[in-house]
Amino acid sequence: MSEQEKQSFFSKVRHVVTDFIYGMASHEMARQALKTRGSMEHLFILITMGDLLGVPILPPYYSLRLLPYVVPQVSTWKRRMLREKDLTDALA
Amino acid sequence: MSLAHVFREHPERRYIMFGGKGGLGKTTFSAATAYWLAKQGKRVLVFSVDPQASLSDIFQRDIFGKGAVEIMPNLYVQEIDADEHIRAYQDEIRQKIRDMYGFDKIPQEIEDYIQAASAEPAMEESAIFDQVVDIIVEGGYDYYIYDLVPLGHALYYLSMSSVYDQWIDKITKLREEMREYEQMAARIKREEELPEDQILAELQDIRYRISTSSSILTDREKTAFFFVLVP
Repeated sequence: MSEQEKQSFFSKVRHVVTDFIYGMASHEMARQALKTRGSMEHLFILITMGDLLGVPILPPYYSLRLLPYVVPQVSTWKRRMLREKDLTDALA
Repeated sequence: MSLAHVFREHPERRYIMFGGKGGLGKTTFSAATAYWLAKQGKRVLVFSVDPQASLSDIFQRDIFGKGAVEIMPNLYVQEIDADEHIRAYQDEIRQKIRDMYGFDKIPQEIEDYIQAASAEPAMEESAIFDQVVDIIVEGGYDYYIYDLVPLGHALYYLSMSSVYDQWIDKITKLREEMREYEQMAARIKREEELPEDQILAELQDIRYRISTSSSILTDREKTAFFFVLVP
């Protein structure tokens, strides 16, 4: 094994070990944080773009300024807000 | 005591509002004050948000919705056309959506929302309010003379800034909290760079504009409010 091959081998091992530890220890935390972030995103769209669902909101003038940034999220947001909720949701 | 006396004594009062019932001479006073100040060599902007504004009449020029028009050296007059402003604003939003996502056409759902939002009763007032914010934040004049609409309306405009302030404050806080979660996740995943949150940046800009203008309009030192009355 040349010096270079050795180095790449060790760096691979290091990657695998860090990924493994990340998966065991912190992946769940990161996932949870992103999930909370996602729920808050939908809450945020609700209080700024509520009119899209018929919930009146305060100043439509300034929401229009934010509209371009939420265009890609609008359809998933609507689906989530209008979805019927049942018991299985609690398990998810 | 003449009106000129007030301006000589208090040169720091640079934002001047004339309010009162309809037909008592708000516009006349605004125009006269602006004329006098301009003659003293000050750069003056006199503006009105009234859709039936009479600044056009008093200066005998068609200035409605044409931005700040120079009437004579140092004297600028502006009449805000809310409808035109809303139209331009909508187009700007549409263009932004097209540019950001490379759409040829705005998705129906989004277009419907843009239309509906503009039909809201608060839209016109907000648009007017925003234009006044624009004028004040932009600066460039020594004096600003605000020829208000008849009283009830005027108070409504002035109170709007505090309502907006609170609303923006709340959603900015929510957005900042969201940012914390995002940063936390990025830290755990050891991601180096997190793209800037553009919504947060917009909100902060809106908040800056509203709070700047409302702090000026409620500043005891800088702002004078004249009630025009029948003796």
